[in-house]
Amino acid sequence: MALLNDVPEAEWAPPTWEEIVREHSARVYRLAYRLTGNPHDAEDLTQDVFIRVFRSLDRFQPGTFEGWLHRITTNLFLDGARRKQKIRFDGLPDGSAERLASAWPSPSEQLADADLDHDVAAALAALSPEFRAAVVLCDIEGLSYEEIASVLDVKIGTVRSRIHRGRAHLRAALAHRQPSGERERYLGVRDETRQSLEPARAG
Amino acid sequence: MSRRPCGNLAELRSAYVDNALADGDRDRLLIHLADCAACRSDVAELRHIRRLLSGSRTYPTAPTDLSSRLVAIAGRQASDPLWSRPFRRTSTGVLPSQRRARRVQLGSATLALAALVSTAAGLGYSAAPSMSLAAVDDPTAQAQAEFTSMLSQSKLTSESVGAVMLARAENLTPALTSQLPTADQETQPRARLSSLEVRSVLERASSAAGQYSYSGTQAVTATVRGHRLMATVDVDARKRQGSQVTVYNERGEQVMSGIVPPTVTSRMVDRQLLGLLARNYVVSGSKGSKVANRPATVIEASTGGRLAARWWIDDSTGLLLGQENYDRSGQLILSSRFTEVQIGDGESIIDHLPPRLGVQTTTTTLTVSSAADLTTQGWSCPDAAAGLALVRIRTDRPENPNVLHLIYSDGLSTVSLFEQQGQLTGPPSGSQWDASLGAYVREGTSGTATWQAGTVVYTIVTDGSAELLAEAVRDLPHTAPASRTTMERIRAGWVAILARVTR
Repeated sequence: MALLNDVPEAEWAPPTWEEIVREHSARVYRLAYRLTGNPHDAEDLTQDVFIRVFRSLDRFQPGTFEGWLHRITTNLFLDGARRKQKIRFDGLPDGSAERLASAWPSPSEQLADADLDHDVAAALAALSPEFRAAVVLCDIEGLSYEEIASVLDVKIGTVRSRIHRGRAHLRAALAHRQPSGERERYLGVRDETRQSLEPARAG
Repeated sequence: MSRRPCGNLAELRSAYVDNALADGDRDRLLIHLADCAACRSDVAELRHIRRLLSGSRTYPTAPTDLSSRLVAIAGRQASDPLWSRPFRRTSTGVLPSQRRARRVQLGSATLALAALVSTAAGLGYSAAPSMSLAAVDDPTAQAQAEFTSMLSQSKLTSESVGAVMLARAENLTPALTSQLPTADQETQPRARLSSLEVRSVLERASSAAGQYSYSGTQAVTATVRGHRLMATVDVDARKRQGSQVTVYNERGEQVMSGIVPPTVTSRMVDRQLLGLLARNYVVSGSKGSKVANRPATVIEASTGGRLAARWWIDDSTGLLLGQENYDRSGQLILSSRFTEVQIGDGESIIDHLPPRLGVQTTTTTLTVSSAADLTTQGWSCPDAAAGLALVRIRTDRPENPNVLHLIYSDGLSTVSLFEQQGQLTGPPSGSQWDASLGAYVREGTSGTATWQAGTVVYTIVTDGSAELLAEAVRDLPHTAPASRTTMERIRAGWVAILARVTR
């Protein structure tokens, strides 16, 4: 798919399914791994994503293929996570009939992240799925807020707020990793006296 | 004593760490950060958290049999080209948005339009030929701003140095005399500074950049390929607006003139840079020097007992009055020094300049090895242009960029290639169409060439010769511009109308 702009119309041929898999599976697996937190669920999720992609190729809407993959991966993950939480969910508006059942164990049950430090992976896994998705797309996948808003189909303000709140949780959970001196602030020793010195401000 | 960070700015700080703030919000926050230690340390902690997550780049690898299972999903069709599938769009586009669709009460038949509406609403520009391309008015100003600011990034580099870099070397005469511009006579014994004092002088110098208006004349020498070149540079710097610089050669002939955009002020970043300097060099300083009749402090950075750089910093304002850089063999490679200067803090506007010289759009520096990745995304990233090697890649964001800035250099000449998704709307100002090159060309202190190929507008800025420019232009793609059919044009029109109605 290299240099699309340079290839004359007549010589251009669309990719095969094999090529699609070769080009995108590593990226999807990586995202799935970050979202689910363990290799087993990541594999299941990746497979679900590609089944979904193959079935809905005809309904592919304008947009980027990568963005579409991101969205399907995130949606299937959130969907599974919600199902796991036993919260009734009305489903994705597009083609909910073909949603694939896959009940993942919670990430903390099966934590084996090889390259994130264990405590970081655990803190990430403890986030609510919505916050985790936003933080993963931002910090690990490196997407911009605009792209995340488009993948999650929420407003940019929502993205900003989810990342901010997700990070606040992470920071509390990882207070032991902060450079010394910062720790007690986030381990519950709230500095009430200082707080009262600071006038309350409108958010 | 640490206060609690200000709660009302919490979201802004988090978004700032992600480089996701609009200019206005970012400026507001930076101004606040300058005065609020609690918020600064909060930003540092957020960065730390972000690094913990993003720092690891050893990705988990999928089990080997996974891809064969994925390929098997398609059964026997796995190796057939997916003709009916729309895979042409590999660059940025906009996903259909259910949320927006619901909001504007559009039926499912107009989902595609809804996606385009969100395009118009600014979620992103499409790179696809069938979508309406973002209009690109005149990319040359942006490209030149990128070019100059790339040369003048460091706050411990005088703007005149960047300007001399922009000037063509052949216009600068080799130095007739071997005499260097020197500091004023140093009669009094110098008082050495403690390391804490040195640090505070440097911090002051980097925060003073852009905060004063001043005008003066600098003597600049540079050693290029063994020849020492001399230039006189008139600098007219206006607070936060940038500096107008005019470069003269030793015979007093004007070689070039232009504007250097202001450096972006961020105390956090400055501290980081100064921290690096302190880690890699032994930094010392002493008071009691003078440059252009102004009392100045001398700061020296050395490594392994060898002097690497020396700065003269104005005692009363913290402005950089002079600098010298040395190479490993101890040879002076660059020196600039004010011979006269007036400093004020007036806010007068540079009014005779075109207001178009912008701040850089690119914020992300990628490694040169990401060229291959970008190539697969449809960008042109040749390893070399006009025989110069690719030395740096900058983009507006780390993934799916809209703007790409590639810098090629051989150490003397620089070719700056600016690529932007969109449709060129007309000839850039001052440019002439050059039919042999297939590009709009403007000659001047730095040559520029602009053309459309496919869905990308290319702009080249170089300080090299016209031949170099032509060679670089020829090394890059020249495919037919994407044109829209009548239907697409009508649809694009409707999209614009819908965007206005539904917002």
